[in-house]
Amino acid sequence: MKGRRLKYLVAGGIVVAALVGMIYSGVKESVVYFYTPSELTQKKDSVEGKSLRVGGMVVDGSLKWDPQALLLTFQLTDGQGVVIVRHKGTAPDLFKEGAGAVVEGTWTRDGYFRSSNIMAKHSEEYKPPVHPETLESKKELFKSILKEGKP
Amino acid sequence: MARLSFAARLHGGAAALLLAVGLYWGLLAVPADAFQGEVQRIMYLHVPSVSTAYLAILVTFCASILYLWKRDLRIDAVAHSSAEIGVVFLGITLATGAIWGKPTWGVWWTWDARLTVTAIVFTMYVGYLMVRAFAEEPQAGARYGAVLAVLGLPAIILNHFAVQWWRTLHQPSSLIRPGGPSVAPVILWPLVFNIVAMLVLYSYFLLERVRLERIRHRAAESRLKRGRRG
Amino acid sequence: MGSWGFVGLAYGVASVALIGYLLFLKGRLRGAREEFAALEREGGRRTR
Repeated sequence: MKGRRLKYLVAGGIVVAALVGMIYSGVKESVVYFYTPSELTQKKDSVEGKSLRVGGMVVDGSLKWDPQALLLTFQLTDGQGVVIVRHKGTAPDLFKEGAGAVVEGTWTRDGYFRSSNIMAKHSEEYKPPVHPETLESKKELFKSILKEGKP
Repeated sequence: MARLSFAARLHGGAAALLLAVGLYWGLLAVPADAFQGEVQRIMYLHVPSVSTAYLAILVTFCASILYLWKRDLRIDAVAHSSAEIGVVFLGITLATGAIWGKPTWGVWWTWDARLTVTAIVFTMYVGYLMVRAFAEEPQAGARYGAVLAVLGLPAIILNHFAVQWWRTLHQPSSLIRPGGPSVAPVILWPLVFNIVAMLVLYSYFLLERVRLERIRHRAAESRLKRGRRG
Repeated sequence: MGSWGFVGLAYGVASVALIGYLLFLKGRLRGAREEFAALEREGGRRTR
């Protein structure tokens, strides 16, 4: 009985610690999960050097990729403010101009946001392509690749 | 020995058949979302899992309230069983969510409000199961569990509104939202079908799990009777 | 890992979890039934 009791006390302690940790960090972190570009431009001096997140839409035509330096540069906007973001490395597939994104990193003295992580944010809408690929069309494609009936 | 009633077998078979049809419909018979591509098909698993987990938590909540009122261990058996199945479906929700998050968001996990609350609810119900396993006296375990389970309803309401009240990486709700679902019919129908199939599986699991609790209860009574006689 | 790889992983993980839970449940049911039957047999022998 003693061993069983101890086992449950240890396990219970872990669960309670995990809960307290998640609630604490949850309240601290997820209440303001990311700042908008206009919020950041307002308070940039006070957050300089602190790690934080910025979320917005990628401005059309702002996305530039430098393959030599592996540097991705783009702008994020919420319709009012604009933040210039520089990111070393690649981005997720769904990260594109006109789409939503949340970046993690720090605001630098040089007037841009240094991103260490890019996350693509998508909408709650789901729709098929304009010309939906049906099972029939997949079979047709398969046939055309195999060139059935042709030598 | 393993005497399975015809109804239970039919129930399990129906769940398997529905899931097989849902699998074919969602994976092969329908085009994937235009923006996300094929990975969107994880939705036919992720959304039914979370819907089922919510229902399981709701059943545990109602049965726990009823238990606190009636003090009947047969009602508590429903609460306990549903909580266990809820943990399974919450686990699947977290796992499929991470696997869906990596190719779309670019990360397996992030501490936004929706994900954090889901992780907290999962840990809460793991705790519930531990309280139940720890309690040596059935009535006491049922009572502690019921008090914990009362938090279930506010937890799922909080999780539903988390994506509206706070800024999150997770997108807002696609199904239960003002203005109706934001999902095109070709994607919506297999999704609803898969939700129904998963709920049938849940009801099968629940009946079998309650049956287990009943047999254990009878065995305990038999042991008690024997002890008194000897 | 390609798009379908993630889909396969998700469905694989969920299948393992669901089938695993089903087997776990069936195993416990069998065990409980056997225990109950043994208790009843013993009880019957004693009263005789």
